[in-house]
Amino acid sequence: MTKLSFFHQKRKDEAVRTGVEVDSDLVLERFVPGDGENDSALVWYIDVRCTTESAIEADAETVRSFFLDLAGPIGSGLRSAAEDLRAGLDADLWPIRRPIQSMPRGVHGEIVCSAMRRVTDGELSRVLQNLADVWAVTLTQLPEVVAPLD
Amino acid sequence: MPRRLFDTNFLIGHWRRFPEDTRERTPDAMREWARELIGLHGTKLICTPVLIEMFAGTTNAKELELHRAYLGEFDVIDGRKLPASVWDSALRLAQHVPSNSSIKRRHLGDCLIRSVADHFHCEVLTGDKAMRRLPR
Repeated sequence: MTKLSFFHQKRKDEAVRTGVEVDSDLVLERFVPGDGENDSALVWYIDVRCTTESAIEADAETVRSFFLDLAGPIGSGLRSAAEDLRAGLDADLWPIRRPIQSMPRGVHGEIVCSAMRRVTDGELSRVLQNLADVWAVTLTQLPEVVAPLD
Repeated sequence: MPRRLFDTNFLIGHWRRFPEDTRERTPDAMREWARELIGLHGTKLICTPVLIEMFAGTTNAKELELHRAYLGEFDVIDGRKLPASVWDSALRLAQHVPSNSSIKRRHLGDCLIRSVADHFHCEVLTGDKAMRRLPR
C-alpha cells in the first residue's frame, strides 16, 4: 500500500506552502513567501490524503500524474467540502474529514481541512472551492523537490 | 509528513481532552491517544523544545510515565540537535519587540519552536485545535 498526500497550507505571515508526499517522502513542493513579518504559525491547511493498494514510485512525474488522473473525484470532493462549510456543518470541531467518492478500484482518499482561530467557515470554503477550480494547474506547476547533494 | 509540527500548547490541549470519563489513562491508552492525533492531522512531528516543555509540566512519576508513552509516538524533527542557526534565530525573535503593543511577551519555547520550524521549512500547528469553528 502506498500513501500519497497533497497538502496546501497558509501561515500567519500569509506565506503558502503546497506539496505532495509519497510515504513521507516530499517529492513536489512550492513555497510562496508572505509579505509580512516571518511567522510560521499555521492559519489553515487542506490535505488530500490517498492510499492505493498498488505500489507507486516516489517519482515526481508519477505522483503528479496520479493526482492529475484523480482530478474529477478530488475536485468533486473539494467542492463538496466547500459546500458543507458554506452551509454550516453539524460537527463544530476542526479538523473536518470528508471521504472522496467515485475513486478507482483500490484507491481511497479523503479531504481533511482545519483552521486556526479567526478563520471562518466562509473563508476556508472559498479556499477549497478555489483549489478545486485550479487543481490541474496547481499540480502541473508544482516544482520537483531536488534532494541535496551529500 | 506534511510540513507541519505540533507546538506545546497544541499537545497540552489534546492531552487535556483525553476522555477520562470513559477511558483510564494508561501508557497504552496515551500511545493510542497520540496516534489518534497524528492520524487526524497527518503529521507526527514535534521538536526538542516541545519535548522539554511537556516533560517539565509533569508533577509526579505516574504522569511522567504517561507523558513518555504519549510523546514516544511523535518524531522529533531536530533529532535533539539544534544547530547554532536555530539558537541565533530564537535570539532574534526574543529581541524583536513588535510595534503592536498589545502583543504579549515572547517565551523561550515559542521562540525556539518557531526557529526550529523555520530551519526545517515547516509550519507550526499552534493552539488548541479543539477550538470550535467560527460561523461564517
